[in-house]
Amino acid sequence: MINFIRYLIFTVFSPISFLVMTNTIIDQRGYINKNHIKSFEKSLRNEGSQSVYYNLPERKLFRIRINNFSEYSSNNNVIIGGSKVLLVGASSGHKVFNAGVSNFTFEDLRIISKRFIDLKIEIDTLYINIDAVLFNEKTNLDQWKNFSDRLRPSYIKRLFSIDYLIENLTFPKYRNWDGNDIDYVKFKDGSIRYHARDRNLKHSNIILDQMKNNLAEISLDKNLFKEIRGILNNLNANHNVLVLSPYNPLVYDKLIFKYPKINLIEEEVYLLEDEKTEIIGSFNPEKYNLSKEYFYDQVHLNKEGIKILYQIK
Amino acid sequence: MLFNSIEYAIFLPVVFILYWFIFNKKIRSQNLLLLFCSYLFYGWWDFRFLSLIALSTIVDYLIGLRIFNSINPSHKKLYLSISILFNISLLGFFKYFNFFIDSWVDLISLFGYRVENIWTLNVILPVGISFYTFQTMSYSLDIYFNKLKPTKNFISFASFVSFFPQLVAGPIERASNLLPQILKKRVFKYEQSVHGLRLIIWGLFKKIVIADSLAPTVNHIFLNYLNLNGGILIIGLIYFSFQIYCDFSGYSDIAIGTAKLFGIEIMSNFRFPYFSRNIEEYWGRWHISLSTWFRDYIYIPLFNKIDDDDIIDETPKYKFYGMIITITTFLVSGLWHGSNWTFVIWGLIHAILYLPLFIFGSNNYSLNQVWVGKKFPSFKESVNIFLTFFFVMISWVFFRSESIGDAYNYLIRIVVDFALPNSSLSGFIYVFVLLSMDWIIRNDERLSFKITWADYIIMPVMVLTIMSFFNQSNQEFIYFQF
Repeated sequence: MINFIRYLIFTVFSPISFLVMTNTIIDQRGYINKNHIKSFEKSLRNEGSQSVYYNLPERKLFRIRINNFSEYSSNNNVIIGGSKVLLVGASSGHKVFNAGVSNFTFEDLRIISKRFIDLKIEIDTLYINIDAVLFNEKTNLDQWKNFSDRLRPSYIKRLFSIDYLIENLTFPKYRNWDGNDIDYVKFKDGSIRYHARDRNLKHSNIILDQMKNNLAEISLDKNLFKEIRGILNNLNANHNVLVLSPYNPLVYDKLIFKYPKINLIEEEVYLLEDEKTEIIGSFNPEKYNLSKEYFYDQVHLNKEGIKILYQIK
Repeated sequence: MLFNSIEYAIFLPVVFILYWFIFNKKIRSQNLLLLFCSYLFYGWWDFRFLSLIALSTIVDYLIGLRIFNSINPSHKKLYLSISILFNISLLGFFKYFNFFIDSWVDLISLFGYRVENIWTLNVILPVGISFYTFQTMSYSLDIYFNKLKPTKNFISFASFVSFFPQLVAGPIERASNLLPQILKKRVFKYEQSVHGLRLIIWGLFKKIVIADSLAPTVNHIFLNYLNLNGGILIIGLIYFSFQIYCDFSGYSDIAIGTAKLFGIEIMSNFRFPYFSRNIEEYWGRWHISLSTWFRDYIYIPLFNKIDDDDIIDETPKYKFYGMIITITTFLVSGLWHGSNWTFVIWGLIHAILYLPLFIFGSNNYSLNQVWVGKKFPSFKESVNIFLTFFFVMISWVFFRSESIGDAYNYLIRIVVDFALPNSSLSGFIYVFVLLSMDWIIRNDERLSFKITWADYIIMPVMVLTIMSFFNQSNQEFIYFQF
């Protein structure tokens, strides 16, 4: 038995232990060790925009950034939403505090808005990107749980991951942006710019397959729309703008055919318009003459597309 | 509980420690532990499944004793019939009820009748039911044919039926092999445990690294086959052939390896089937536990009805009845895999491939290990291997497709819309890795080589490779659906 245990230690436990220990000690994404994300936030706040070479833990970063809201925001305009709003800010010429996070769900909206309310942050203009995915409460997107510091099974799984080891061992993780046009950049206002290689994706079928789980079970639950109105009231911004970000015309027709409820959501969102709340945009790119040239990929507007969308009344 | 899950990674070492350090004083306590852990393992899917396996265990335990203790042959036959009827009914109800209803409705609609209200059931298929019902039937059958004496030790019998490494996806063990090991004291053996650990790691590698890496491409190709050219559809078939092989043989390897950790040897289930030179050899290498089950309990008994001496009969009458029996066996084998006519067609294709060997008498020589003493196969062997793989690969279309129509369209598109593929080629890396490694170990599928320094390099590399792919892997084992 002792020989077998020795064999087990050398062949199985040793590589696993090395992997887990290394990941735990370095832990760039702050699953266990919070120091790295705190350092990043400090660099962002004090040094300015950062070139980033790893997967930023956006939600953990948001939690620290919002505590220093006044140092980030020059005009108290805030934008909340998913990856479609992450591009709104410095690179598109807008002055906002960008509170966007990827794979944004309704739960993210609840948590982020509550944070603003709890900190009693006064907002001048509030932009919220309304995506169809928000209305799928059965979505398997659960990144909103990353707001919590609780040790999740997915964190422990990441510690056993070779990919995470490579990420941890890759240096530098970030550095002050020197103005180059290649790097993935996190701007001081919280917005991002994609790496040059990610600005022209083309695989439409794959995107539709990926969207299946998030769009196939959209619910037109009236309570969710009521909840949006409640969130707007509680945030009490001077002016609200609900944004419907269009899809690339290359995929829009296929998307609508497969998921016709998307248009019904748009109609419901427009019912939220009132004297304080404005609705801009549409899921349909044709309504604003946004051709494929205004998109990086199937869903994300590029800089020029964003400028057009956010100026449209 | 999946073998490739964190729960199992915690479950197995805990059971191992309890088994060898706490409960090792008496066989009874070890078997009780095995029984408890097996039920825990099985109930992890759905605790309601436990009642079925418990019922199957009790019925066959009692019937085994009755068969053995009966003097009157007609009573023996009656008890055997009850066992078979009970297990087939269990299988039929949960797995085939809706299939037979739907098929019946389709059949009578061919004659112009319409059924207004179809009564179908909304039942969950209990995981592993196809495997453990066959295992308990083999127990009753072996007692009936005087190959085995029943056990009065209910705990041991229940442990045999529910033995967790092979409970949900085989190998379908024979009582004559597994039960005696359950009944006697197990002794920890270093080499046996190392071989077991090797098999577990190799099985996880095949499942997580190879099968799960090919799965997304296979799924995409079969989902979108109407929009893809024939070259890519062939690639989809090749990838699926290796996906299902790695998925299923990987599971079997983990099952065999796990059993070895507990001092128990269960039968091999795969012996490099894609190195087969003809279909008869293929069925001696693919899902061996199932093919031998059908051979021993359907094929041979039916043959004995027409010719019960050991002399091979070459008469046309014998050949004719032999063909019927062969086709029947393959069709039943196909149906075992699932409640869909596609599986029956899959079985039929294999029957058609097998029949020439039977008719011309070339199925009666046994083929030894793959290329003993040679580095590479000869040209003729290579052609035979390629052709066998080709026909097996074609049959997989019916296995993978949702309907006969889909399978037919898939095959037609390969021919009418053939073009050289210009995408989906990266998966061949996994195919190459798998074939290379299978080739290296082709003389010993149980990896019982001598323990050398190479273990201390190869094993950690494989463990790290598995972990590298683990986070992307979330695919269930294919054979769980059977």
